[in-house]
Amino acid sequence: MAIEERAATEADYPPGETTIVVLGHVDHGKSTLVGRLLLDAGLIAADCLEFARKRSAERGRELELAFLLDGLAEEQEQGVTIDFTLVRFRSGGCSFVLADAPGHREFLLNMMSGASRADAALLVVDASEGMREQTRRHAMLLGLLGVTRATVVITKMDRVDWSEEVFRDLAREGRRLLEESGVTVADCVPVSALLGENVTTRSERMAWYDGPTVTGALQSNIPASTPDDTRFRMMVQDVYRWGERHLLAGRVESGSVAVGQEVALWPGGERSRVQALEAWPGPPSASAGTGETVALEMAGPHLAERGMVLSSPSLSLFPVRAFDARIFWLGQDALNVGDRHRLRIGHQETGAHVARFHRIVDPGEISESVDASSLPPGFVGECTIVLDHPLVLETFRSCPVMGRFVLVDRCRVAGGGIVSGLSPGSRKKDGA
Amino acid sequence: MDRSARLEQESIYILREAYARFRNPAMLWSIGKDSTALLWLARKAFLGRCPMPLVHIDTTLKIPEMIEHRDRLVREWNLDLVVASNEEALAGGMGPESGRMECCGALKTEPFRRIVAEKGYDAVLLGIRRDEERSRSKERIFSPRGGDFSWAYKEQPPEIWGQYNTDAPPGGHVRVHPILDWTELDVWEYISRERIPVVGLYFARGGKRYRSLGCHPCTEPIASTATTVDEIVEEVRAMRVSERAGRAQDRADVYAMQKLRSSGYM
Repeated sequence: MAIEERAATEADYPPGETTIVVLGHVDHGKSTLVGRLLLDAGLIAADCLEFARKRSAERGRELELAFLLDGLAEEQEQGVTIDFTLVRFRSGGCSFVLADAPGHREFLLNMMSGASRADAALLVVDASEGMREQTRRHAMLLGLLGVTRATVVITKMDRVDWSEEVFRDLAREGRRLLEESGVTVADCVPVSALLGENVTTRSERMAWYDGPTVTGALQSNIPASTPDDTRFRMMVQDVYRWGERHLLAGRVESGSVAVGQEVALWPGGERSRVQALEAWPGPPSASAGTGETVALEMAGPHLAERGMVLSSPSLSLFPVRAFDARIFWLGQDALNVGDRHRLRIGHQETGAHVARFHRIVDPGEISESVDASSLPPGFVGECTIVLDHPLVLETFRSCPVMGRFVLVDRCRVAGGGIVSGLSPGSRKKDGA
Repeated sequence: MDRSARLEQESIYILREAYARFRNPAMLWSIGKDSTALLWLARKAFLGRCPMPLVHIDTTLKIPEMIEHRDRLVREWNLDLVVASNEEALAGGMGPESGRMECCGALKTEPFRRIVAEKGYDAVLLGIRRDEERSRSKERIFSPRGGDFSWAYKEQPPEIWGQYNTDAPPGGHVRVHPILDWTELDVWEYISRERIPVVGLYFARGGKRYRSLGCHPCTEPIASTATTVDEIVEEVRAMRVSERAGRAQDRADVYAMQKLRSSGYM
């Protein structure tokens, strides 16, 4: 029985909300698909719908669904999404946030900003055009961002005469692209967002298809939120020195923390005990779980500052000077071996440079570059990074928050990546 | 964690990040429900006190009840309030009859611009939300503004994995939007959950209430019977028209807000 035909109960779904990024090549119909999902779910305010109708009519169109998302004047005039936006979406008892990302190469950084917040993705492919440069690039970058689940949506099926053969070929190719970058694909759905076929309601024109609709696929593809490692980790965001009291502000990134618990303070590894979890209004809390912001008062004198890491004493963390990484680069000029930039991981920051590239790939073409000394914008590289000062980090696989970083070029985030190994040069594939 | 708890924790994280990274941040307070919820979140983030000044841009066209509410909270919550107005424009008779866009520019953007320059604020925290308006839907959480207050909305800095742009451009400042991802319903549910005091104009009197509060001449009340926060939550949940439909500002020109905001408006 298809998922959307079953009455969902609260117990079927996690209480949280899943963020889904919508990706794909420019003009393949991402905003139109999101507009259709919202419209079919009755989530568009009457005045906003009226506005989109009016703007569409001025362009001689009936209703441009993308105008429900593309809010900037330039986006509507040029018919292109410039920047991402987030909208709430509910279906069958599940709550989602949809991130409608731009497909144009020029706006790749905006796509990454939207996608870096996602739990799962919809990769949109125009049936009449197939895989294009940004389809491939987005698929590869998705894996690098740590998004591990996706649905392939083949759009504009009306333009290929609802052909099952076209769908099968593209679905196979989309699945392969995503799986190569470490993303699991549960479903591939053929749709016409324009006509509303297989988005929320099942298509009669594509009776040959017996899988879920887009909403059905979204509901059945919610990633589990059970972390592998439940040991306590927190990065010190700030220290509030109020009178005699010192409070360590931060967010619990994994595990939990409670009054009386022993913790280690890195990079030094000193031990201390949690004396209180300050809260307002009301009395101090006894404990806090993953995702909660806290203000900890520690027993005994200690010197703490932003950038330090607190953890369960059973974790052995240590500062590293060099590590292996998979990085993406979106700066204006290429990233060369030896170029110095600032590297931020959590609240830690220092200068950094690439000592050598092991491999450079153009994700748009999935081809390797011969020049291994420089990473062009939009490319992905495997490399060894050397830091000016040692930082406390882990591989992305052992703890995502402690193993992902951004590179800052003159005040702007221009790239980033994931830590794949802590023994540089061993080329152990750990993070991908 | 449910949505409301998750949004609260994210906002606290953003508030603490702004406080840690900027030398001289300030918070804009319009006395409306959103910026009052933001103020409450700041008191939570900093454990009962708001460690930054609150800037109120007084157009003098605000409804008197809002000023009473402001002054009461300033006393009770021990707040550092900074009031800014454009005295010359007011003396010259500026008002909505001079043109709504002109009025917003002269009585809001201009005094805002001056107070930021005068006090040297390098960050300004605001309670705007994506679901309020089309150009706000495309905002960043940390959004830089140039020395001329301009918003380069076509080339916004990336925000990847919660690594925000915390460097103000030379002579400029960074707008910080801790409740950008909240919706109108989220704000009301939070006000209900936390029992945050809001100005009485939001509650129905004689079959009408204000859904959105701006200046008196440019804000219209809506038909409503909601007299408590929980009744407002129920009403908003059933609404099929967006929040700012009662604001004249947005009707003046379809892209009025984008135009106002690209030159410094909130």
